[in-house]
Amino acid sequence: MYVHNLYSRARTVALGVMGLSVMFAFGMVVYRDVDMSLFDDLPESLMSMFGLTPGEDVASLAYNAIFSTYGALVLGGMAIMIGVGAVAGRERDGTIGILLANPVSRIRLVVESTLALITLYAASALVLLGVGLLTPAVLDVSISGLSVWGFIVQLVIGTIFYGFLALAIGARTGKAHAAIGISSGILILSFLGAGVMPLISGWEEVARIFPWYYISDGDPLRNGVNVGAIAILLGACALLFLAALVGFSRRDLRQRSVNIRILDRLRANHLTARLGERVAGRTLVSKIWVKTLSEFQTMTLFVSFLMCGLMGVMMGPIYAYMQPNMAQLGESFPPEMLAFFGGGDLGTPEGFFQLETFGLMAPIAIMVITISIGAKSIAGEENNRTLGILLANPISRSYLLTQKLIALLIWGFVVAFATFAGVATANLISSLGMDYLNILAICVNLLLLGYLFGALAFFMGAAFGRVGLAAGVSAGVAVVLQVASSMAEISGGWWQKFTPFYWYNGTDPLNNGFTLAGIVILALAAILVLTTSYPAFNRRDLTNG
Amino acid sequence: MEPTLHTSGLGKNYGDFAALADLNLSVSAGEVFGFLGPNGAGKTTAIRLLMNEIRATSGTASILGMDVHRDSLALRHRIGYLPSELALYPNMTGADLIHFFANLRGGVDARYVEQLGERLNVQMAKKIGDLSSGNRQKIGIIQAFMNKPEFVILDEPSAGLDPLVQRELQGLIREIADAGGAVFLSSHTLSEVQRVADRVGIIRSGKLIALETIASLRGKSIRKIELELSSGPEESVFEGIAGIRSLLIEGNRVFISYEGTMEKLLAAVMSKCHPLDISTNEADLEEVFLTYYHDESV
Repeated sequence: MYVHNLYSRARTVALGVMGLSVMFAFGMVVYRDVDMSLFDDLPESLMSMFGLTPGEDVASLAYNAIFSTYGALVLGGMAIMIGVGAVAGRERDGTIGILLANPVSRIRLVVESTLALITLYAASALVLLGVGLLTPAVLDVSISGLSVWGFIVQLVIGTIFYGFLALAIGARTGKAHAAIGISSGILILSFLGAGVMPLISGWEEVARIFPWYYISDGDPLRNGVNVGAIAILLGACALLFLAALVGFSRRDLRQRSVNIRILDRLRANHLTARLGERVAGRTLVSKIWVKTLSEFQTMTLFVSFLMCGLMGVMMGPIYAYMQPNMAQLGESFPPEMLAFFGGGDLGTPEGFFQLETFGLMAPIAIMVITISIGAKSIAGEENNRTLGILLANPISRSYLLTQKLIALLIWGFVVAFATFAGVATANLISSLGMDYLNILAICVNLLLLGYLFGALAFFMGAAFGRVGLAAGVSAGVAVVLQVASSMAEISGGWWQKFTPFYWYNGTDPLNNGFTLAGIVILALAAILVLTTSYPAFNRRDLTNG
Repeated sequence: MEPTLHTSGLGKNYGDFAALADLNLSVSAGEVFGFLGPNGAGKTTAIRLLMNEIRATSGTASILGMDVHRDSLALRHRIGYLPSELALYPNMTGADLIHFFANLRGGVDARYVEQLGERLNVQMAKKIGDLSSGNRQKIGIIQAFMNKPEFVILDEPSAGLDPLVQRELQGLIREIADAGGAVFLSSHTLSEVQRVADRVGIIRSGKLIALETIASLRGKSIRKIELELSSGPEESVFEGIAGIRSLLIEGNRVFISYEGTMEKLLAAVMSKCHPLDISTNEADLEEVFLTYYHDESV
């Protein structure tokens, strides 16, 4: 079982670690050519936002920027997926019954799944350590005085914590969705908390309640492993492991489970049944597009809330609070480095929002929604083996495509609109003085960018019928084009205008407003891909699940 | 009269592999057609071709006079379909699912749906993911019959159903045929088909290897017959009766393995002996089918 656990997850982890390694090497190449003396003038508050410390050099910049942020998020996210898969994921898939019908105790199931997680993360640590040592050697970047070993160890132990958290919640409740939701919620919250709290005077110590804090507590890159932080993380992991053992041993196994939403409870209660029926019942099955909307409503509303509140409204006061330092900064921040995070002049609110909200977060947020809906539109029905019975009804394949497309367009619009509303509100309440039309311009570009990659996922799903392929290719193409776009920003590459990210924010719409060419190019590209989906789906054989 | 289902040279290849080859079939109005074959024989491939889920490599098929590919949309208004290994939306209740499909059909007779639910004893308010496989199957059966179809395609419909519900399903199938419709019933178990079908086709390795009425199949089957006579007979009594496969006489009791209709055997016995008792088991079609299923060259 240990081996089975190991094999079933090894590919995901290997891909994640490989991606990180490439990004790290790329980051180091970019930073090598940056004049590091510029960093001496940076205010401390800004540096801590990027996980940098004063006296930064090329090597530590690469380690911190790539591994501490992207790396920790990726490793934490993968750990959650593995932790959930140990128990709750098997209950969701309905495979736990047959697994435990073999002479395998529940304790052994938990122990061997946990051992697999630890093995995979130990291997990841070794690979990252190798890359972390080899890259600077090849690029001839000095790493003297840096403890790469201590840094990686603390990073890996700090992120495997989230795997144990997901394991414990999943083992206790048997609910995979809950375990994923709560663990990633805590991950995101503690990522933000550990980053923002130290910036607020008087609240610095509060950061210690967030597990994320201990990933870089004591600056392990300079000072080596912080034994105290490691002890706290390992202690927490041990407690969660015990909680998983006890929680799983004492409860009933769940059958292949379904989500019970609040609306379902409303419907089941005779007092609220009529209300529930109106909101959750027959209306939601009136049309395919309405049903599709309801399937993605939780996810979309969560992302919209995040974009509107956290990345929109709250960024206003944060900018206002940091503005004195920002103004000082002026033009001194190296554009090469900013390009990697989406560019922008930090001295102005436009530049701040360009970097913080629109650089990476907004494209990721809208693509999570449009690519999810796009990939699952046809391929999801096919993988769940419901497409055959759905198309046994008198509807044409083109009609089905159009219905699914309506849902994609609506939810994409909601995310873009929530972002606009959030940033516009921040602009209003903190009197930032940005032009509302310009905010609208970048949000329109954002919407079209989301549609374009949603359309790609939609096409791939319609043409090939596999969710993983559709989502993976679309997300992969997006990452490659984003990296290509930021490389072009730095090096002035000729290919810049061929990446959709240039037409999204490369023309700096927050300062320059609408660019007709950008809108036309993004819209035409999306329409072209969507149109191709129809013949691709109409002509092919359906797969059998 | 034009047949309800007609296929001509229908075939489907995946690369070099022929999942279905040269299928020629006709099913008439009022007929229940059993489509039998071992697992992986090509039954579901044939059905998916009829449902326009996949496209034929060769040949044509029509249902109710309409081409299954060209007129697929119009056709689906008039037929019902239950796929094998039924998968439905686990987060919907049975009632929601039926409403959803009814909306896609532009509405169905709600009272008829209610009647179907009562006959099959379905739990409509529960989420489909929480239902047992048999109860899930019942929802699938309702959606296949709810538009009062003229032609119904059922792929392994009895999976997970208890005997009472199986009988109710057989009733539904017969009602369609008796009302002038037709039913295409695919299965790998004979007992399911034997009770309700008028005619069967047997498919193996993608090829149709037999097309018979149930009655003629019964004629081909071997019965074990036990006779108790007033006195021990001579063996010569049974000589010359075609179809006797084996004979054993113990005192006044006779044990016979017999293939064919009972008429000739009974006539011979009655003319020469005085039978006190006769017992026979039901015609065992299973053995006939096993010979068809068995991996021999055809």
